[in-house]
Amino acid sequence: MSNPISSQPDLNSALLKAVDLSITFRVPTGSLKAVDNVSFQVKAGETVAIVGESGSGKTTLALSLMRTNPPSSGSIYFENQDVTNLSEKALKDFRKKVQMVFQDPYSSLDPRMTVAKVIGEPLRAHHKLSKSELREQAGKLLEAVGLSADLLDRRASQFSGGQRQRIAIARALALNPQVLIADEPVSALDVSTQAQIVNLLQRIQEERNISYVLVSHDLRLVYHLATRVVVMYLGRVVEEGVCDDVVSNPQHPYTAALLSAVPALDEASRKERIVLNGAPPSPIARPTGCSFHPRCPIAREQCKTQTPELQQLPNGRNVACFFPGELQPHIEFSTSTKE
Amino acid sequence: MSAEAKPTEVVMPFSRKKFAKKYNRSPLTLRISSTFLGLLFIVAIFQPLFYRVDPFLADLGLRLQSPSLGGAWLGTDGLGQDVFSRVIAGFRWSLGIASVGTILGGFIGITLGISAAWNRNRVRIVLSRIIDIGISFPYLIIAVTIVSVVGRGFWALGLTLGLVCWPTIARVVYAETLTLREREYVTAARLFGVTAFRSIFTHILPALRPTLQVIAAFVFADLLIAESGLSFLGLGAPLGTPTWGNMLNESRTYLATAPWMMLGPAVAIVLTIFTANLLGEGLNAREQARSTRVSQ
Amino acid sequence: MINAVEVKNLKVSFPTPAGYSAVVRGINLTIKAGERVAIVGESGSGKTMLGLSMLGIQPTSAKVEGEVLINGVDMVSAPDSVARKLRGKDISMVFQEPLTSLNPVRTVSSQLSESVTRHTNLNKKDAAAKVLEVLTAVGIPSPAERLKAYPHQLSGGLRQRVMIALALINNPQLVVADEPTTALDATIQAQILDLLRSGMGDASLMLITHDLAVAADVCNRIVVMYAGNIVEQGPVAEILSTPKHPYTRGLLAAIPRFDPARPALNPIPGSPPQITEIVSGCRFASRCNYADHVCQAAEPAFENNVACFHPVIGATR
Repeated sequence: MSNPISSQPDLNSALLKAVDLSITFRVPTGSLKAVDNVSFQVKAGETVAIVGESGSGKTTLALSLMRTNPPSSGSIYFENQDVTNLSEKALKDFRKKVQMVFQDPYSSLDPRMTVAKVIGEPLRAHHKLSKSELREQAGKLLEAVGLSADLLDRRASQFSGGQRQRIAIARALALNPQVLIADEPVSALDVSTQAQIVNLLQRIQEERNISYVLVSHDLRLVYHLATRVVVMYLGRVVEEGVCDDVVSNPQHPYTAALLSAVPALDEASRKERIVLNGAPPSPIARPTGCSFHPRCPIAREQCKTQTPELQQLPNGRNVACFFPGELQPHIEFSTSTKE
Repeated sequence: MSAEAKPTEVVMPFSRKKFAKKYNRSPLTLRISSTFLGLLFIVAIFQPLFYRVDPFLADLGLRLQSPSLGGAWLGTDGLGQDVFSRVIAGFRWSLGIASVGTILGGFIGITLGISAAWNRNRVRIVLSRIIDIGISFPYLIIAVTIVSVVGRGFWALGLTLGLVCWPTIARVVYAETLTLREREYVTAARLFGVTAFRSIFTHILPALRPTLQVIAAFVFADLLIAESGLSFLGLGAPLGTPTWGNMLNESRTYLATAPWMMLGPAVAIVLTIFTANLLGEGLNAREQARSTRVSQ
Repeated sequence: MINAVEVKNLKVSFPTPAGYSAVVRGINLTIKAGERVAIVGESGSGKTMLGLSMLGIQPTSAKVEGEVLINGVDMVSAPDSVARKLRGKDISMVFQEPLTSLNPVRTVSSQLSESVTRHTNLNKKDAAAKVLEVLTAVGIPSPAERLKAYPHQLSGGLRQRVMIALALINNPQLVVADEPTTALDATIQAQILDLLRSGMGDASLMLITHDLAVAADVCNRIVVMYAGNIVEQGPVAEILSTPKHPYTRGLLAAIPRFDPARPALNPIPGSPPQITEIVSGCRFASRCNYADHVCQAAEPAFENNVACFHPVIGATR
């Protein structure tokens, strides 16, 4: 399992990390383990993508990194400080450092507020600023995300989706965070505006050296933005590694199926598509053995009874499968060079 | 999909122009009812200006006169007091008590409703049970009980009605706040380190405002009925005080001989309640029109 | 019958304070029998309204002009009693969110068999057999057990299959599917795309989507809409390799790819015009790199499968 050559993640260099984190929700029929024993870390300046389908726990994991709900076990560290059990008051400093952009720019901005108020909200919570100072700061932030400071007095409801997402990003940047958690930041937007926001996120990362945690189901987007990928299925990490490697040589059959399911612009990928049966089971009724076995095209007897642990392969990849690398998708790689 | 050129639909610091614009855009029901209710409040506040004669002036020589244009417009009562002037004097009681009741009830209802919805677990369970219990009590009976303890003055009655009308408000506030607190912008505010208290004032209350306006209008109408009802039962204002309920109660004795006595107070009650209800409907209609406009 | 549907100069407009504004601005479209056509466009392009008005189920405030010919009947001018008979039989629709378009208080089988008995003379027993047949055809595992299920008891993917079964049950000429996979997870989307591509029997498909990749995945032909107009159309391979309209090119350049070089995305600047906005000339001109004074002055006609004064020649990238 542990390999001497492998780059055992240097936990000290991690900015934000979760260790053996589990999140349990109480439901009428018992308890639901939305996140099950997940370890996760983000280093300065990198983009870690969390990939999975609904029910995989990817959004829950991202939100709990921000301490939205108390974990049932495990801990969260920011800059090696344990923030797992800090009170909301003691978290104030942490709240400045880790910020979030939500999926839906329509529900994440209060439609009754002016842009100045929206962007000023986090500033007011942390700093004693006069009205004119607030406005000035908000104006600067608005310009940083590519909107004119003249728009400060408009209401959030007057903007298009893409513009709203820019405002949401400006708000998240207001406190100068070191980590930005983005939950499906472009999936609610039109195709032509998606690219604007993607480019904006990239530019901001270059300018400010922020780390991103990107939650997304869109693997093309993930490939475009992420340095590392964490693939989740039913609350557990099934594969984790460097983005390029995971996409070009997935080790877990679920990762392979996800990559293969990306709607294709070419015929070959379509013909060789790995189509999984059925839907992900509910986390309440988790299958025995490997949770993925009922849908897995390469499942054997062993998979029905034994649960594969997340292990590190010689190539540095972490994967929770007894038969890593066996299933490979056909992916259409573009070969253009930089324009 | 909002056009950038779309005009805003918001409350700004008061300006006459904006008010006029807002007024002209409101539904007809809202325009009529708010104007009329405004007039009624003016009558209530400046009532002496509208008296024909002193409403307390009893002239037994003029008792039970039928309405006449030259004399008492709405006739006189058993003590020879002028019914029209007494109806006018009744505005202060009825509108005043209903206003005090609505404001107090609103305060209790909003506080309880938001506290119940904002907290989780035990606090929520306890508070929402309290609201449920409040709702299931027949409120005239509580009012009767409280009045018999605290007395029957203007403030006593206003506070009593306030103490009985909050459950409906609390219920609605509770339900709305439950959905509002799950809005992403409220979660976002928490993640920015905004305190719960501030979040309630910046996000929850402004969002509740339109709903609150509508229920306030309906609660106000209910309290007008309740006040008249209490007076009619002899549990409201002290005997002899010119309230519509009292006047109706007094007119009962003379139903056969002087039926016009009930006309004045009855019309006043119906008209005021109708106006308040119309206001509620109008506010509701405006809200719906707004939300469809926003969603387009 | 060679054509499943013929749309002639279809206009859909909505009342606004400044008079009627068109959302669909004169669309001509013919879908042949057995053809799978994708209508690709962003929100506000009018693609959904086009689909709804083809079935005659547009919002009541909408004004529809032009012709939609199905089986020789014009859905636009036909009285509702006639249109209703075609709807669910010759033309049917699959919506994005099956949970809101299926009746939550009725079982799967009762909804499906009702649709059969309403449009055919089949008796109950034959209808039940037909229901089972179509549920099997759309790939619902152990269909007999699902008959008594209510929509909320099914997973999202199964619900969408039921919705497709409902659309297919009377062997329609045309199924209009509006973003049928947008609400679904990746692996489930792949299943439904497969079904739409090869499990639709003889029915033609009009797939409304914002996603060019989904369109390419399922269809033979792509029709690109922008701000109420068709701006380009052609076979899938041609649209993907040699798009002529700058908007189509823009859409393609805006999609991230599996490209190890990670070339920067080229977004289309700005956002589409609002329906109330009055635009003179080409409606894409303000966002277009190729636009000049000609484009500001006049609206380009749709000729040679493209509506542009400066169609681009050559392959992308």
